Amino acid sequence: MMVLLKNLGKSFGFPRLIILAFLGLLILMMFVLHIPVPLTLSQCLVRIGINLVLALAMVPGIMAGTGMNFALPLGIECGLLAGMISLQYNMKGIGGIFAAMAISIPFSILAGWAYSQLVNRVKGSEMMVSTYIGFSMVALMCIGWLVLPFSNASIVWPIGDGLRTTITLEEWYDRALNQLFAFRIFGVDIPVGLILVIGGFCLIVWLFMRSHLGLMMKAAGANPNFARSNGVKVDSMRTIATILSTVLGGIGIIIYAQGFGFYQLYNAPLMMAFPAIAAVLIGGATPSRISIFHVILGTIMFQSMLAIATPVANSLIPEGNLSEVVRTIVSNGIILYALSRMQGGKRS
Amino acid sequence: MSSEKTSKAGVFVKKLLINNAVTLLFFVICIAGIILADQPMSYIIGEISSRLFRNLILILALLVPVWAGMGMNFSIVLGAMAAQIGIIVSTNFSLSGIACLVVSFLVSIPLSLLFGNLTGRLFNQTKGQEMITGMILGFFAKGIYDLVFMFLCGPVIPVRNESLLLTNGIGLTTPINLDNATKSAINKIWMVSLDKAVYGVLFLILLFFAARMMGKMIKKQKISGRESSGLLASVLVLAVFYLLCRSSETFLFALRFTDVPIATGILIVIVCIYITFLSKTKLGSDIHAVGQSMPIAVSMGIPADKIRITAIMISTLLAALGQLIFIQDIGNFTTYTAHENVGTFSIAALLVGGASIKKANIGHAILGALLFHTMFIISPLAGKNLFDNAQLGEYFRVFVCYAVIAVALALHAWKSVLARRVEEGEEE
Repeated sequence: MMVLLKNLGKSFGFPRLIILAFLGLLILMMFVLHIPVPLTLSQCLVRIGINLVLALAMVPGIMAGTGMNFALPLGIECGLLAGMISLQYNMKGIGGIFAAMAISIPFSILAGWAYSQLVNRVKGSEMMVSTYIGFSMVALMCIGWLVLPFSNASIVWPIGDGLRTTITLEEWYDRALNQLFAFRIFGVDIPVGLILVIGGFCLIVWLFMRSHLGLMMKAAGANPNFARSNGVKVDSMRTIATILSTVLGGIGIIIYAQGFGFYQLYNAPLMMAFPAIAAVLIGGATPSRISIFHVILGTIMFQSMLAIATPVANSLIPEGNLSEVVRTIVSNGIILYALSRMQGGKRS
Repeated sequence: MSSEKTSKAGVFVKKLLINNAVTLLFFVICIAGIILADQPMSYIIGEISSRLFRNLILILALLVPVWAGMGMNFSIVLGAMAAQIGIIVSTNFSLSGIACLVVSFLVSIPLSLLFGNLTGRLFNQTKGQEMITGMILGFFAKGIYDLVFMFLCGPVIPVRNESLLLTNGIGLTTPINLDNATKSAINKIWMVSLDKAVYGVLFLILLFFAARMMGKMIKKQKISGRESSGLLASVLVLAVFYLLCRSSETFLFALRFTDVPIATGILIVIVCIYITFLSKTKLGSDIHAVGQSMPIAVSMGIPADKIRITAIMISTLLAALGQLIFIQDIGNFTTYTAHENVGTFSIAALLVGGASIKKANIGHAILGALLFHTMFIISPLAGKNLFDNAQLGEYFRVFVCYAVIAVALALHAWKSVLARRVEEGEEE
């Protein structure tokens, strides 16, 4: 029995146990401190929903062997650009959201393709290079937001140049997906529309993983030399994976923004890759192995931890931003743990 | 024959251009920026000189891990944190003046060595991915630092100096200001105007070469070309500098207008000498051996893991010293964010100076600091003049900073992939 438990602990991973224990403690605190449970649960659901597609963007990269996609901001910037176009032409409601997604796809494909050309030339250092490619793109788009010819008075600064730093979506599609078919049970709001859409994306990626192309991609990631000798074009698999990941990033940010209620431009996307990466790692993924289950479990654990930590921290210490600090420690801690498990650059 | 010669020269020039592309590009950006910014020379020279003295030690702190083959040490952020903790401690005991800075440094020594040791151990777990690990470690350490100083200081950790605390007694205020006696305490020991300082340095170099030549003459050894050409070069530079000062009023005025902190300069020189000296010791040659090839180093009986930890410890300690110099120069620091950009900016500066992930020396650090900080000063001004928008220039310099690192990393990774491919091809 002890051996079984020990093995379970080993396969589950030590840091994951800590996070689970921490989550349990937070839930306990929630009851002790009389924090309204239904409200917190509703927030949990929304947070999980709006972050899931961003975490899903990690799947193709890890499958094809390019590792965790630290260049997620690249896709996010494409999504934001598409979002801005949808606002410029006043696309409203659910249709506006899907229009923004559709507009983002060509941008993402283009950016993802260009970026994949680089990824295929820097094998072994993808993570470091991609981090800084992501950072430079965010900085470049900061200039873009200032000079691009957007003119809708509701999204540009009234005085001076460029788009606003934060754009509230009330006029367009604020929480449109969350409120679609939404109902309330025991005081908990169930965002049915959001769940349906993210469920759809999960299903698409799940089906893709099982398709012929997905299996070839997996083979290319697991053992490039073996795959090559079996006639799999490893580099084009990596290219497709990078493009897919970028596309998912672009769609992910639109879902995130509509659930959040606003678009954040300029430096906001800079660090957005890290929570997504941390979520899949918490769910049990490694830099070389991932499944949809890992993504869903990880996002549920990580995001509900954050959602519960915020009111708990606020009622303990009203000043300061304790939950932000907890987020920094947990998300970077889990990434460090995963890196130290890679054993000398080799993927275990 | 002649065509062969020119093609050889062509290849040489081409190689020179490719290998120094980033540096040359920066040179062009800086000159264009200076013209566009349209600022008085005294302003530009003054700013560059003060930034050079402020940042150079932080950049020099990066060198040793590069030699050890660990790439750019993004975790110098931890060294910066150690320095800030040192200042917080000595401010807590209401120290002031030089004593405050000395105590701060003494406190930061054990801290930075400990941080460096732990970082080194972690890096030994993640060989080949040191840079990304270092970067994430910096973010992680920021979380811990925030937790300690935002929430534990006050309720858990007693703080004596109440001016440090926020009004509710939980967490430290931001920014933390050094008092007037402490601000620039090291700089204020001895200030000299820049023209005198340059004359002084040039005379010292001249004396150095002359003394070596004299020494060899007395010992009746052959005088090597290095000494005589060094002597000649320093005389020439001195003459050119004298003529420049004589011919251009504005240049002389700009130099006279700028004061340089000699004590800080001496500290920088000491760090440079230490680094040069280090690379000539047994430890230094071990570090270089580990950097060349870890398996070969291990087979020669060098404890590679230990050497790597030592390299990171040295780097972290120097970073602590560097951050201390930086903060005393500015006079205050934002408690929770002052350390954030230390790694990125220092690394970008070093790379701009022509260093790579595998090769870096003191010359790269100095040239990089000059070019990078020139760009940093002028780009908002140039942006304002060119597009009537200072914000644009600010975003531009951040973009350049990230892009330089991205390009350098990508070029290095690409080169090593190509090298691996050649090796594999030979094996077949």
